[in-house]
Amino acid sequence: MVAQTITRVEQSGDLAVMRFEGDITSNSEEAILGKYRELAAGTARIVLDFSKVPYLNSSGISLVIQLLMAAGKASQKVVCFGLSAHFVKVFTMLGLSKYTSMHPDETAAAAAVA
Amino acid sequence: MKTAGLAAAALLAAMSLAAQTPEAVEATGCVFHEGDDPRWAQPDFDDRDWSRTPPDVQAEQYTIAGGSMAAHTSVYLWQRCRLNLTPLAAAKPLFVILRTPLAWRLYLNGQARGTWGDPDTGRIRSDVVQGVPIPADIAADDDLLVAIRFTRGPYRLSAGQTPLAGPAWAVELERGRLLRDAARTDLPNIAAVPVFVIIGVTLLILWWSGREQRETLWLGLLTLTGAGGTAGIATLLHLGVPVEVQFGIRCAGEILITYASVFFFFALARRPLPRLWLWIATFSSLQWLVQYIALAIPGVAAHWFVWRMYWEPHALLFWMCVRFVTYLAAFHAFWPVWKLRSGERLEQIMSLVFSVAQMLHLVRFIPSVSQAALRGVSAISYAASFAPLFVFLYVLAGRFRSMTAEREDLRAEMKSAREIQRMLVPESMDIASPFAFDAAYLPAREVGGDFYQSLPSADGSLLVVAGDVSGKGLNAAMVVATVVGALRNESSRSPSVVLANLNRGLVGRLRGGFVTCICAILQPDGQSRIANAGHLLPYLEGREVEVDSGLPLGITADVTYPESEVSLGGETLTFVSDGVVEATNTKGELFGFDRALRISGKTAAEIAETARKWGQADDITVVTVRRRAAGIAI
Repeated sequence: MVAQTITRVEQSGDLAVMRFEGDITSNSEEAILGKYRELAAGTARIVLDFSKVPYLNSSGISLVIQLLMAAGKASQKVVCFGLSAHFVKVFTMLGLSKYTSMHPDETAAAAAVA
Repeated sequence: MKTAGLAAAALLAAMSLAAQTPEAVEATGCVFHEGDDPRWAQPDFDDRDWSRTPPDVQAEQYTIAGGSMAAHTSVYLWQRCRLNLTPLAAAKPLFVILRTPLAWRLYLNGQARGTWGDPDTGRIRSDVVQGVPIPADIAADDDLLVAIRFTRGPYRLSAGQTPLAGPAWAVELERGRLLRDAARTDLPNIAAVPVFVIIGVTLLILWWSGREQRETLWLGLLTLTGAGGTAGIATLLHLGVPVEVQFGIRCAGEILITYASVFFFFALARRPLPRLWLWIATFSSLQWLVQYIALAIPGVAAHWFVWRMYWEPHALLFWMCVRFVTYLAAFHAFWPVWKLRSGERLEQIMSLVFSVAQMLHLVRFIPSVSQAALRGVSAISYAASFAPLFVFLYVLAGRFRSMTAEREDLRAEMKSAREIQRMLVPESMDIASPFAFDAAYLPAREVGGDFYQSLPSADGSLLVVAGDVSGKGLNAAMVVATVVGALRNESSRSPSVVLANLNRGLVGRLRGGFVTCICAILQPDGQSRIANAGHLLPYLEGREVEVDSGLPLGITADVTYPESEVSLGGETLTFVSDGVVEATNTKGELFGFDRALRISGKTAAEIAETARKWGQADDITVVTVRRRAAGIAI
């Protein structure tokens, strides 16, 4: 049974932290892209928290890519943390390191986006 | 001989006595009174102002105008009767025989002589016949004052049958009568149970087989619950099952019927269920829940609360209306009801008939309706409740046939799609080729989203492409067909150009999806170039080949795919899809990159099989290429 993705957004000025929880799959469009579209106007920096995401399938990764592309077009800086070693490698192989930096924890991610 | 003669004489005498003695005598002059007072047990109490008719009968027969419900102001009910034992003088010992669904305490000439059930809470196990021995000294009085203090349970209102007096065999005779009465009442229902159980179970199995026709599920549940409700509870009643269990089962059944009806009508009409009906069904179910909780709380006060909530005439009407309003769902589901929908006429009409039949039960609350009319309406309601069931079965059988035929068509189409996809897979390499090519492909479904191609050129070079379309099933398979078609028409042998061309063709056509793809051009002398669009890196003799990766295909047009150079000796170059590294075992553990690296030296079939055994979650593709030494097959 695939867990439903829950997204909590913490907005602070031009910084938004999107905390994902549960598997990210084709059912996560609202949790990923829907929540991204709801970010406050003027958001310039986005931190993606994957620390409570056990699994992303290819459709889920596709949603993350769409978020990164949309953020790139809006000149928003995106960093992420909490990805397992497996998915850091997957993201790297997908060439996503050119669109987001990946960090081991929130402190490192916050420093990167400061 | 003498002994036998005496025995025969005694038997004849007994038979003669039995012939002269009535089986039982009925109490006379019974009077009733609401309330509770220990003085009412005394023989000399003046009961002349007591009512001569039982204050309560089955609630089903009540009308608001009758107002008799208003008389129920007490948990306790007293009954006083006279028993003339003279006709039974020859039979000893004698018993007072009571047949009532209430808990009671019995007094004979002012002396407490027996109880049944809990006189404080009114709880009893079942309706049974009880015999209370009449002491010999009282029997001598001939005229006996019987006072019974009934404690009403919350759901049993009738005081029961007039008390009797008789010998022990009369008690057994009365018990036999109870069973016969029960059989007469319940047998038709019990006989119908197997039929409804078979229908209900069949419907549930049909639903389980496809899990598509939800109306089949709800009708199956309705049929099974109805069967349980009509006969099961009646059976339990006579098996001595505690009233709490009986009523708990009834409450659960009523709640299930309420929800199942609402869900069924909308599923039958193939319309989404409006939230409003969920709220109505929940409110309707609430009355059962409240009653059951109150019953579970010991003490008369809780019972009293239920009484006032449910059995007060206007409260009763209110709850009945709430209950029956759920059947209006049939009208809403097929709204506008006056427009018969083509192809759904039968189910529409029968849903409305069924709905109206249920609501006919409310007629009993109309004061001016006679008992005869009520009986007629009840018979019509009964028939109109069951006839639609068989029509629904006919309709559902038709739908099931259509669904099965559609599924067969789909299966045939998927089979064709798989055969077409198989045609897109490269055939075995020419033995004269400088490369030995091998592949294993295990789609997770009928058709897959992985692909690979080996396209040899006249100069002996080989273009190898492996990729994976995000998503699964027919959609992914159609993208695969597009990509493979484009690859077979590709004239360039430059990996970066091939990927860029594919990318341009796919951008804007994948509805948010993407295609990972790796492309290698292998020269006969072993010099090779590889470009990657987000695919897993290839393995070369137990190590990962470092290749710069660009974004997967189909996301954005302005992407370039740098080429990396690799020199092949006699080593095997292995490409895998993410179905290998993301195979997941029963503990949720991924096969992972480390394990994939460790087995990367095995054959394509061995690698694919290892991942499959770990736990296939996605299409698995493994492609291996080895350069033959000096053009000789290895």
